Amino acid sequence: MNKTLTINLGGRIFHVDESAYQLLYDYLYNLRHAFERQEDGEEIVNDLENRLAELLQESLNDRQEVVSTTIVEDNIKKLGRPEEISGEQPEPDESGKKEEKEGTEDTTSDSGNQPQKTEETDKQQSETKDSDRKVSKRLFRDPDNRILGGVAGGLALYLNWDPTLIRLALLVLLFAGYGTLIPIYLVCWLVIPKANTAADKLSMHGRPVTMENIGKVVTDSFDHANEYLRSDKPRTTLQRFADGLVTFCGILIKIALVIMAIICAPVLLALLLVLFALVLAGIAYICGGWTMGVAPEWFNSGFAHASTIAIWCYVCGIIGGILLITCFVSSIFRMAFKWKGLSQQTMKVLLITAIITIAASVVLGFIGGWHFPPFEYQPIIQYDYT
Amino acid sequence: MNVDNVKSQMRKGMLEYCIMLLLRKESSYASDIIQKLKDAHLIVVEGTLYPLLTRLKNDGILSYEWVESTQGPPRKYYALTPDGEAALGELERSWMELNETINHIANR
Repeated sequence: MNKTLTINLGGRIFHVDESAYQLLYDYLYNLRHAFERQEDGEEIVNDLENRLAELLQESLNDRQEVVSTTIVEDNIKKLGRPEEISGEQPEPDESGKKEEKEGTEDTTSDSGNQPQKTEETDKQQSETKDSDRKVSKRLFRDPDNRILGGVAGGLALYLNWDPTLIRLALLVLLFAGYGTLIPIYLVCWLVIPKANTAADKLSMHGRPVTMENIGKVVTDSFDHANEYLRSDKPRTTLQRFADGLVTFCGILIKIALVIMAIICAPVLLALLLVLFALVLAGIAYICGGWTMGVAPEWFNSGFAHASTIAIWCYVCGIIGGILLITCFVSSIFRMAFKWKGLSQQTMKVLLITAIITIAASVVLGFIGGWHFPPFEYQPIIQYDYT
Repeated sequence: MNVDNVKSQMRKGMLEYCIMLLLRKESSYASDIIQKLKDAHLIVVEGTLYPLLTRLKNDGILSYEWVESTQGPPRKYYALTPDGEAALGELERSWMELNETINHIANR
């Protein structure tokens, strides 16, 4: 005996098993997520939803009136996983296997090619084995193993540690007076992406993103959902409380982000203006100083010695500042509104450049500063030593 | 060389042309297009068609209208636009050319 739900999918009414419902829900959620940033993504997802409804309708007959998990799974296979549909992944392997069979048939006709073919496949296999080893892990928040945001779970996977150990360590540190951990955790929560798709989960576990593996993850989560629903054990109050807390925190953070964006907008604008003014002033000052010969004495004596260093320090600082602000604005927009923003690659390059230029600016500042003071007490030192 | 990859690339390149050919004579419902493409082994998973249709629609090659259906909710029927027909003509010429070239090279 199963509980059934009545749902409206693409304008048709279905009676669905509870576990099948969860599957459908997850699938449509993942589809929406995959197309959310595409032009007309909403329309595509609606079309897919309608098609799914049609497929389900075709699978039902007089004897089978309720949509079961197997029906849903079969039809999802027909329609394709979100990664396949949105084209993030290469073509599925099923066609490849068929083609391979055809291919071997072809080669039997002229036997000269056959050994080559096997060599090739051997090479391919060794390549895939190599890629198994080389795959690098990526840091994600783990939605399957979370208490608050899944930061500790993701970190544990990334570092290959026990998540409980990390959580305990965090708690101990927290009670030992490291209160700064709370904002750090929140920042991690915001900055580290959640592993939403199967591909994300694979790279979180450090496994290569192949069709086979994606299939495993998808079926795993199906099993997971089924288990969860089939076990009649009601969720504990603590779990419910934690879930509620997380949703609440999520909303709070969203609000905070929006407020931050609103507050930051004028501040950032002002900062940009100041930077611009500084650049202009610096250029004017340097040009003016050199050409008119009206630079003050400290410029000629002190600044002139360190001038190249100081100018570079100045320029680096400004470039770094502008880059940092760009990154900041982009990430705020990206998180608060579903704006596509800069690509992750661009962001990385920008951030690295910003850090390098700012570091260079600081170092140059120190070097420049080292040269500045001497002209005041240089005579004294010279006096002492002669 | 990865033969499968080249094959699938060829198919991918042909897909839009085939969809346009299918829609030249009559406007069709997306599910009918899927059936024809599946019969021709041009697509494996059905879902891939929908993003493609939407893109062609956005490019002005296709347009659709809602048609009432006897079974279930109204359906989107896709058809070629005049722009699409012009594009199809061009594609057809280039396909002929390609075909000739390949035959020429193969039968040398």
